[in-house]
Amino acid sequence: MNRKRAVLLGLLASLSVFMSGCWSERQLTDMAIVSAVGIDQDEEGKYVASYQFFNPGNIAGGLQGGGGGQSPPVAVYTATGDSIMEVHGNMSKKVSREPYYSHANLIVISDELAEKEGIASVLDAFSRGSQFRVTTTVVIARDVKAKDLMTTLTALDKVPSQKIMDTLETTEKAMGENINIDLQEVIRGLVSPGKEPLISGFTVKGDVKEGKKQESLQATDLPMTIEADGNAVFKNGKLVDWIDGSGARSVLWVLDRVESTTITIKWADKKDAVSYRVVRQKTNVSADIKGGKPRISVGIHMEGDIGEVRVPIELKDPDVLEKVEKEIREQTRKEIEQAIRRAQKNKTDVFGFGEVFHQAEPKEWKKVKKSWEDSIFPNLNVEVKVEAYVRRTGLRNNSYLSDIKSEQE
Amino acid sequence: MKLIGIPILISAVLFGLMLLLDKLQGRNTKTAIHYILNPFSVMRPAEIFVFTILSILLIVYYWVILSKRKQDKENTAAK
Amino acid sequence: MEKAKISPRQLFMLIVLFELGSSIIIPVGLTAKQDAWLAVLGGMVGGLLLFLLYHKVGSYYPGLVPTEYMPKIWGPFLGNIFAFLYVIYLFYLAARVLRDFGEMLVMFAYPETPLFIINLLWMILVVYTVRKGIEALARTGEILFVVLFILAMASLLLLIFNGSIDTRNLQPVFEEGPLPLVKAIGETVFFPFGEIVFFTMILPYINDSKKTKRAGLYALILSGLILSVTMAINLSVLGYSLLARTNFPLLATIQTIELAEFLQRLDVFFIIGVVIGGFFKITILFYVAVMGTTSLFKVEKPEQLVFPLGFITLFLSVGIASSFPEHIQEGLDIVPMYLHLPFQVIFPLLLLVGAFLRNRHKQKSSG
Repeated sequence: MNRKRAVLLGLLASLSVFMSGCWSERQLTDMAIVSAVGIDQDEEGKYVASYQFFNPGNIAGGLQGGGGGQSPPVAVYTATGDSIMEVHGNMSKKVSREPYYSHANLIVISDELAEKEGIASVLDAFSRGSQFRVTTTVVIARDVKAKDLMTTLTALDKVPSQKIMDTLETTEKAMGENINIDLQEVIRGLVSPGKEPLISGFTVKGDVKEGKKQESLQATDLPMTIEADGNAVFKNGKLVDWIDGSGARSVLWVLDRVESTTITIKWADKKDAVSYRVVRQKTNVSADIKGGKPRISVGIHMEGDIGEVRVPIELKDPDVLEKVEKEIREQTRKEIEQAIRRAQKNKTDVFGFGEVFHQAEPKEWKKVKKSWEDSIFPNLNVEVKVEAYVRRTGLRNNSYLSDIKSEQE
Repeated sequence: MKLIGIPILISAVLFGLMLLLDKLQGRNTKTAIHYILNPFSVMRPAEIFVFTILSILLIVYYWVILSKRKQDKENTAAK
Repeated sequence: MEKAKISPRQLFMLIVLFELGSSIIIPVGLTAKQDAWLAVLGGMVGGLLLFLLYHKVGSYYPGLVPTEYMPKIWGPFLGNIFAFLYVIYLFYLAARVLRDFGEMLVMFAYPETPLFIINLLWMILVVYTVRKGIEALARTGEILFVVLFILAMASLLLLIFNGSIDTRNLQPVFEEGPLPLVKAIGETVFFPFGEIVFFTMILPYINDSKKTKRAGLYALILSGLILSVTMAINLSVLGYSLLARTNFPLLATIQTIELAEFLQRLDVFFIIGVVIGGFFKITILFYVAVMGTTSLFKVEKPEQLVFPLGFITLFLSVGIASSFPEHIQEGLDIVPMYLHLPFQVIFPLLLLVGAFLRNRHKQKSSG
């Protein structure tokens, strides 16, 4: 018995040699690892793609003695073509190795391209190709070329594309004013008649030319920074509007993508007097039919603490807190209604109300599907209800401002 | 019987006490009840999970105790 | 409830730990402003008187707990009703203290964690301890008492060496006359001193009843002194104005320690001390509440009820207030007047009168 087993095991082991896929072999030194892809459009309507490649020797930089001031951690090459596949082919004329996309986590599309041609046709190669992941982050370059976002170097993060992705993730969680969306969700938004995609915008503030140089990183106050800047709104795949600030937050709120954020309210005739930090929130969007017409109800429930007060206010008094809560509710409700109206004016259903309606009333949906975006959504009756609760006030109750005031009286 | 009744009685009276205290603070009954229950409506999934486990534990606990009691009774009756 | 006994020394430690429990983090007597420390001393005197009162009532019925002798004094109907009310009062207080500690941990250390979960973790520990019985609690108390003492001494020394203490902040004494002080004493008598009314449930379990009175009085004096000194230190370091605005003054005081460039951020001392004190206070309150329930309803196996009652207390602690300031305001404005006053003063006085009358009766008829 043992003999037989040994032979069997030996056979199995030798088989594994054949499974290493020699036919599709790739040597590491033959690959150029792409970290991000930026797509612009030139005057002839061709795609100009900028690939950000890892510069392998310089990523692990710190371990080598002496360090700093050599070549940057990434290199950017640009190629032109009528389609993404053509660009890939043309890239081989410039790069000594074949581009390898499995680590490409970021796609940047220029705003001009998104406005003129729309993003629908450019994304197919990315979803079809075996190397691209559907979880790739998608971002729109605002007021700059996509290439500029690829070529700008960053201080805290060696790889600029990593910085873009991490920044997006962090700010979505902390402020809720930019959406962290990936390829899969964008395509879903493009396809669905009851929803439009919303994509964050990034821009380069400062001197774009200086941003490409390694020496620019040698200062504490960099001449250039990559920043998240608003969100792009689409209609039928084309960019039609940008929303920023609290309007953007409202949209993300309805989309239930806000984790925590800060709301400042007016108090005692002073603007931005009290800051409320949202710790926990829940959004409910439901649809039904009222009076023969579709109706959407948005319910938001949030809990949080007081983070900062800039006026004397009696935080020890629960009645005062109740008034603060009311103020928070009113303000948030107004902001959200404003955001909804703006989207209705643009005739783009960024909130996905159509999908919600589809899930709630499928029969009705079939009837109105075609005209949803252009006629029904703009006149949609949306009810917004906001509940807000203040739980704590931090380590202090009243502010020293109250004491200053009472001393003066 | 007693085991179940006592906690229920105490819960009911305590709930009434909470209402009473909130009313003394100047809230009317409806809002008071709403305020007592609302911390439980925004629960993260982890919280809901814990809550469910607790409830299940409580039920299991009672099950075990009551069946033990029945057994004891049957044993003494058999004697 | 059980046959366990504890020694007078353990009683002493339990009372001290109990008193220090939440009083160390929540300031009292602030109506007297910078004389708050004097108010604490005044409250201590009041507490001593109350303790003597409770002890006297208990002495008419040695070996019986209040839920057993209340019906004897007032008759089965009234007596049981009042005993039940006491039990409810105890559950409410246990939940309050649990809420106090949970809020502090959330505010300071775990802002993202839901209050319910933190309180749950506390209650698991409390329920476990109560199931083990009073002896286990008392023995744990002996050990933790020493730990707490060391922490307190260390903090005090550090504060002195740090130079944070500025006794000028304690002046002027009696700035607005004695009236605020008197009012403040009225507050401190109820919280924290009057709360030892619950210890009446434990007194019968001391194995040496003669020494009980002394142990109790000494414990009150010690805790009163410690609390007063703590308040005085807080006032000296922070000044009244800052102290009144802080939710947890002792924490702010300890945060001022910056010695030799490495002894900073000793907030952890605060947390450990507070967790120990809080644990004891909640456990004792909960234990007494459970004991009262089981003796009142004559439950055969009291251990079985601990878990469900703990469940209730947990939910109660989350439901009593929907925000921290509301919880504090409830505790300062409503609870003393409507709960502490009757249960700590009025009812015991009535009990004393009743016990006296009844037993004079008895002596006459048996004599």
